Amino acid sequence: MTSARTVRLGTFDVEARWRPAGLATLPAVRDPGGDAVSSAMDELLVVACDPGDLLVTGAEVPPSFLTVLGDAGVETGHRVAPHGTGTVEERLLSHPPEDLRGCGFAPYAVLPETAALVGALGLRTAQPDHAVVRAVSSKSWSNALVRELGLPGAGVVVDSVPRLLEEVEALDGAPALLKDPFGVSGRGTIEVSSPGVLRSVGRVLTKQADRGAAVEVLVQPRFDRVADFSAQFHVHEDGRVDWHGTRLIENTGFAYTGSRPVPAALGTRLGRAGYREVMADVGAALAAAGYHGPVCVDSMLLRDGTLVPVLEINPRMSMGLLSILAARRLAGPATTARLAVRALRTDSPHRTFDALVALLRRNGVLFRSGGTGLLPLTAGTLSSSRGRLYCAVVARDDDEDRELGAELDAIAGSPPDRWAAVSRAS
Amino acid sequence: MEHRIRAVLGEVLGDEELAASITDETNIVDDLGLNSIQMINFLLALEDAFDVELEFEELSFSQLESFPAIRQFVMAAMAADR
Repeated sequence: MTSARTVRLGTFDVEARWRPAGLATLPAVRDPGGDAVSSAMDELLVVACDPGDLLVTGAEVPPSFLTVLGDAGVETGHRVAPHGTGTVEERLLSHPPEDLRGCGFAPYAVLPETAALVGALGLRTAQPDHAVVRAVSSKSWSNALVRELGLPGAGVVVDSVPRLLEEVEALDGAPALLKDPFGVSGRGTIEVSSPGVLRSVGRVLTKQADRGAAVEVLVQPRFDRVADFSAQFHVHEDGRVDWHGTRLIENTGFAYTGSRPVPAALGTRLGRAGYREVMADVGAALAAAGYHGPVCVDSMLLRDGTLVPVLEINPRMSMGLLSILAARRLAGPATTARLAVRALRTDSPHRTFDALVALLRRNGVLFRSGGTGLLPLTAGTLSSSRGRLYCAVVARDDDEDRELGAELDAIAGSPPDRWAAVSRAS
Repeated sequence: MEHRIRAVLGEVLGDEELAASITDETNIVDDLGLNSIQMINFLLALEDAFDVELEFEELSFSQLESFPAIRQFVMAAMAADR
């Protein structure tokens, strides 16, 4: 039996699952608080759901989460993955429900256990092989493609510490970035700011290589960029590409703070530079390698006017795609929508979804279908010591967008007990 | 030592005034917004500035949030390297 219903779920921290064992890691600091936030980001997939779809998350969400999203016009069924350890996919696999047979399936990304999950649940879908997804997700693969297509921005992949030192030295004092082939923005990147930093990285990698780990690092010059953006598309098995759009990536320092439509001037410039044609080539290469599904390609515009169209390729859904899907669901003919992320300082039990909604309501900015305002898109990411507030910002014009952005900053910066006080009073 | 740690932090944050304003009560992660890439670049720069070797595999964000904790951490690494 087939069903129009689609099951949507997925672990967001996929690069760690794609990373082969036995690969030496660049110096890193463990961040358990950040891991707790990542595990709750699957709630963001709610904006991809159509009425009748089923969102499966790793943790409970408060009843108000679905009500507030429903009032905004985002309706979906929801259930929590069976209790257990591991990813949502692994938990479903250990206790496969019988009632999803024949449903469609749209995971955030393909993991090692995805094929077994599709079989066990009887889902109606064709997902690419995990080994292919892992291969094309590597920065080594995308760097080779950049070279093959003759695009600017290629780096060098090294397989030993002496080669790494050589390549950094070959940049002749220009700042270098060292990237883990399976790192993501925010992790797995080191800026070589001095010879001492390079010595430290060499020491950490050599120690692991001496224990038998393989070294694989992408060495790139640090680009002087003026804009970060990403292309979002879906590639079919035959290489055809369905274009979703381009999103400007907003960062503060190295921290991601949101995705919004690219400014008109940048869009025009990309059109003239043949950006979409390059993405069609990327799509064809991915399909030739055996990949099909959602793709996010990170790109940059440099200060000297150079377009670096392929910085990295993410063969999965992405924040940029979720931003586009949120805009499709929430924006009307006279409004635009973007995705905004704010760090929440201080771990606190008062930072609840209900308290946030009470605050937004009191300030008259909670988004409802057909209107403008702020719509919180996650509940479980709020209370961790690395808490993050994910919000859609829906506005009529730039002035209202700025006002809502300021409102969001004020809420993110206000102390947790203020959230609790408003919640109690409402 | 405190002055040098602040100077290194200022370079990583790209804001020397902000780094100079921190006190023992400042949480450098929560209050200054130091993220994981900045933290690792900060630690690597500390290694360079103080000529010490840190054991990255054993480090967690929560051990490094306060200025006194970082100072202690550098002092311990200097003692271990002697």
